[in-house]
Amino acid sequence: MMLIAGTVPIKDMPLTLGKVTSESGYLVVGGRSIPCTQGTGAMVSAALATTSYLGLEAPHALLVGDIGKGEGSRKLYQYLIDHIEELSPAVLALHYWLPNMSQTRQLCAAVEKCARRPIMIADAASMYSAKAAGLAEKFDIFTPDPTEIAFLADPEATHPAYIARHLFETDITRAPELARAAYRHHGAAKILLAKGAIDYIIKDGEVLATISEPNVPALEPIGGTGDTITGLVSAFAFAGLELHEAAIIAAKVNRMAGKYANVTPATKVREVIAQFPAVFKDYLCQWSSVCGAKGGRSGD
Amino acid sequence: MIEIDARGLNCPLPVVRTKKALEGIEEGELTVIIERPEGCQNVRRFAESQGCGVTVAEKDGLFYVHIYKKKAVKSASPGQSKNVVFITTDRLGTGDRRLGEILMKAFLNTLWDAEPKPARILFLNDGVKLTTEGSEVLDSLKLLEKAGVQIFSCGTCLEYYQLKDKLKVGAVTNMYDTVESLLSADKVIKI
Repeated sequence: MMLIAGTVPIKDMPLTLGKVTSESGYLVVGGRSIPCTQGTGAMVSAALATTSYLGLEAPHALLVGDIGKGEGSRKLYQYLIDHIEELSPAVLALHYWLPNMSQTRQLCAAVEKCARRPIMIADAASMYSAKAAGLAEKFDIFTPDPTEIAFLADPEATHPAYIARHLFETDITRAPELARAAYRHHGAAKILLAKGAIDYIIKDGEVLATISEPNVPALEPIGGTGDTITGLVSAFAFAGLELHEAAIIAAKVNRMAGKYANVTPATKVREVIAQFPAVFKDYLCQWSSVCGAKGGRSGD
Repeated sequence: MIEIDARGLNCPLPVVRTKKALEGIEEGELTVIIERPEGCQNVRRFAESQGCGVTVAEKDGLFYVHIYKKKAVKSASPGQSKNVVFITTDRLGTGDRRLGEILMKAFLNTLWDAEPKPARILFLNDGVKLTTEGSEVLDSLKLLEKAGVQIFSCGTCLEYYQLKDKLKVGAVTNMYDTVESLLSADKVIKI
């Protein structure tokens, strides 16, 4: 099972766990409709599109409403702490929630008790709390944007809003240097997928791959197009791809889907996700190191 | 024997699962059940690239790819290099055609005798006429294949010459694989 956990900005939405389906442009989890606009919804949508194409089980999502008060986030953490061992997901992908270092520590301790340790992926606030709690190295993949890499690189910062030396860092070309610092200070997961105008895949401080093509600048201002990369990499990791390859292909797919969708700043993220199957069909095998054939879908 | 049911899975997943299964055994057999011919071809090509023996059976619309892994098949045999022979013509040299055909036959025969043998022979353009029905060098190529040399023919070229159904030795490849083979070779010998 792939489990994606995060909050959604829906007031009073109770903690909801279920296999994800899609209906009329909405995600459906445990009988509740979730818009695919940005954040966790975009991430789950991207993962669902990927598993659907590949023929894998759809992701499970553990969602809760939280409009910034933290109550939903605390319930989410606690549910995972109490149930992760029985859920036993192959991939645990964490997204938005109000950071809580103490509960993050408890969650990581609970994960260590699992018979089979899940692949741990974190983006956004779950990545902040993992880093701030000194547990970044327990994670397999982080998917930071430029500001977040600066946060990971700053040993003193406990949140991206409090970066000492890199306030409002936006220069993605500094990602390799900042990533090296992040690894030095134990602030990075095993693999970093640094998302930006150039995407960097970094392992143990070394840049494994740099992806800058196709160059689709209009993707940047579209809400959720960073979240989709995290959904993609989570699904590819669930599919059994090597983690660095999952990260590389995720970055490529997102860019190519932006190109296929002819995006403008007004494009919705769901229009980008809708292009994933076409990109998979045309490129997935070609981009995979084990397959290498032209085209991804056999038999078409 | 390990069985991988890859029905319903799109590429590259059948290959990913095959790779993981092969990594998990030192030697042995596995069968991959797959629905689509292209996926079957991708699994076959991957297994062969790992030095495994492969046979394919088709039954009730499904492909059963049987893979045999021998101990330490991944490493090149002592007499095998990482060199690639790239053959883009059906004869050797540019003079008389018949002489060129005789020289090509002699070249491939000698290649089978030589040590170290190349890791791969890639056939492109007119070269694919050597791997297909009616070729005078099929026996030599089959001996080379038995000796662990991978034989690949360009799929586009086979289609162009309408020889796809007449391939008699080795497997079909594409330009992606061809480029990768050339770039990763220790040495490329172009004929």
